[in-house]
Amino acid sequence: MAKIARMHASAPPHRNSQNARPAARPLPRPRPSALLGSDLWIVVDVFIALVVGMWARHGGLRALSEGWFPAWGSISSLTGLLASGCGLIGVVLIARPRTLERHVGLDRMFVWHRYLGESMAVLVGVHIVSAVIAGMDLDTSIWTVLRDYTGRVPYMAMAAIGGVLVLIVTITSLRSIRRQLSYETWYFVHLLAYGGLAVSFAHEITLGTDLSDDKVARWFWVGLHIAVLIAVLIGRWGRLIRSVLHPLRVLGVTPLGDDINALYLGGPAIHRMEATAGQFCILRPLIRGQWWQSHPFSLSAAPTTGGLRFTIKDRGDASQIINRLPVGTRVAVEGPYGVATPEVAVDSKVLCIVGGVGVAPARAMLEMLTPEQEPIVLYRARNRDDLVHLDEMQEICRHVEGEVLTLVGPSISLANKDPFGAASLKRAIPDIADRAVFVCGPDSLVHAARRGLKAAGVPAENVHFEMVWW
Amino acid sequence: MSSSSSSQPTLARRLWPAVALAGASAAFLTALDKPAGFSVDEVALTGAQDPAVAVTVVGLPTTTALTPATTVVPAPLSTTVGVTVPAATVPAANGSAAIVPAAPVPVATVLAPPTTVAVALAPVDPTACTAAAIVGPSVNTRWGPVQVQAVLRADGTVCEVTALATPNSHRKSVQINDRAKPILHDRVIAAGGTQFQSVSGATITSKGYRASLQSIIDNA
Repeated sequence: MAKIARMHASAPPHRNSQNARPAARPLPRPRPSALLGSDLWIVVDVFIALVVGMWARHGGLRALSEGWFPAWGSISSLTGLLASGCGLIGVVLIARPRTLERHVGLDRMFVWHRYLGESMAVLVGVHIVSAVIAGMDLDTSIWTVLRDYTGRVPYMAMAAIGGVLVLIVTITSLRSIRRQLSYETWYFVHLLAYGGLAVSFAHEITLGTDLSDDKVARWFWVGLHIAVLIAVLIGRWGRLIRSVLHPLRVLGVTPLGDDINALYLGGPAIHRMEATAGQFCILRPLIRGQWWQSHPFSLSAAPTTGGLRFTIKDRGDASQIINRLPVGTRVAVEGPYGVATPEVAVDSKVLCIVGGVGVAPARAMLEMLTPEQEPIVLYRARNRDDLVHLDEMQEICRHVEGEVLTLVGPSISLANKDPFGAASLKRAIPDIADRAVFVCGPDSLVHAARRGLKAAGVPAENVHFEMVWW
Repeated sequence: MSSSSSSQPTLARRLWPAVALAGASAAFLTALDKPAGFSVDEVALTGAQDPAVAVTVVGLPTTTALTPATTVVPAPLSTTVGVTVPAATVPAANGSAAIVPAAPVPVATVLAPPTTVAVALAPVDPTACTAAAIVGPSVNTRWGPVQVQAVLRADGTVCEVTALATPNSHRKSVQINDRAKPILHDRVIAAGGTQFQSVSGATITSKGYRASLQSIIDNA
């Protein structure tokens, strides 16, 4: 192991500098998704139609016009069912179904998960309020209703606790509060949402008229929950266990700059993987104090059987530890994920706009492009030392007839205050509107670049970027 | 690694908020979950299986050997069994005498003696609605007891149903149930069983109604 690491330290294994290593073959590319864009919406629409249809068939629609209390009861049923629906779809996304991930990318799935979570919280809120109003039907005292719905009605204590858990998970996920918490604290609290969904389940079956009266609807509902449970057990936890059982090992760590390092992972388990440039993996070092944390990092070289390379900026927390992992350390690797890969830009000219350590996926992708794609990399960095992989990229560009443009200096010192404005972009890259564009870097850069690209006439579907989700 | 990770957060520090919340949830759950006396489901279940409320139906053969029900179980404390068999509805097939209680028999209650009830049914046209009415168990719901009596056809479908008790402790309950009872009646007759739709605005009564009726069907 030590020998391999030394060798890597002197000659990082990328396509253009292979020497002593036995032929490292590129890893197989992930199979494309069988999904079409419309499939997703068909599935979601059918699901919503089934839920709303179930509610309407059981008299929900009619009850809306039958007076104050029945109407609230009916609203309560509908919002309850829809909240469950949001929860179920949200959990399906967490199971990371492969076809879906290959289609839209894990980042979008997490963003949808967030939207669904927010929708669920609102629906649960309306559900609770309307149920309480409907419950005041017979008993005018709100306190009696609240007491009934927090314990005296069977299974309602569980539902009330479930509601509180959903509330807590929602509050901790509000951006302002989420920022105050460490990722893991937030994540472990977030796991309570599973508990919330589980304890709320019983009251869905026993209360209201939708599921308790209709055998078909009841089995549909129970079956749906079982299917989602199986999906999440296999997709999330099964995959996690598999990544721990078949870890990669640290082949070496090479410093690239002041606080930027390249981490090489490899080993026999790599033959199980499919990966391509532009993707990212979620790494979990299997050492004391780290095994319960995982972090996403982009591949910074086209993945081969010889190993994966990640470029990691030292941000002072766990990345510091990852940058000091001893050779041979086992690292559980989940993924790779991501759809901003060369496949989406076949037959198209390519522009990469990257900032700082965001260069990694662009660097990897560059290896897989062809001269016909005339790749241009627009590389933004605060200072010259942060321009990691610049030499490598320039070398690759000689092979693929590409070009690396750099833009260095603190924003305040730039002559052009808006380097990603439409005018500057068009001046630097006249054919920009015909290019597929990959954007990777800090939030502010991604925002500025997307705005500029839009103004420069690049269609949105030709702009590829990872949404921020961690 | 462990030495340099001493400055790093530990799992325990990251995990405790979640564990504390989960623990608090469990504690609240046990403290709050007090459904005693308000159970629809429990009564519905026991009503269906508890021999103490079972109404034994004895088909009437040509012989006069009428098997008396031999259920010997003390009625549970909370269960009230009312049995009403209007004598007029009991046919005397083949001249044999049906031994039935002729008047409402509120068999109740605290450590009651073994309850045995025999109701006679005639082996007649399966669509005829001439059998004796069978009284279901009183089902406790959130708003009060619901109890129905029903007449079954020979094929087991329900051809007549009457609500003996519905929640009436609130004026509003009475209002709701006065509206719901005829609707429930019609729906049951149309469905011929418990596969009827609850009356919106009276779901609890509907549930009790169904539970009581289901018990009758299960025991027929």
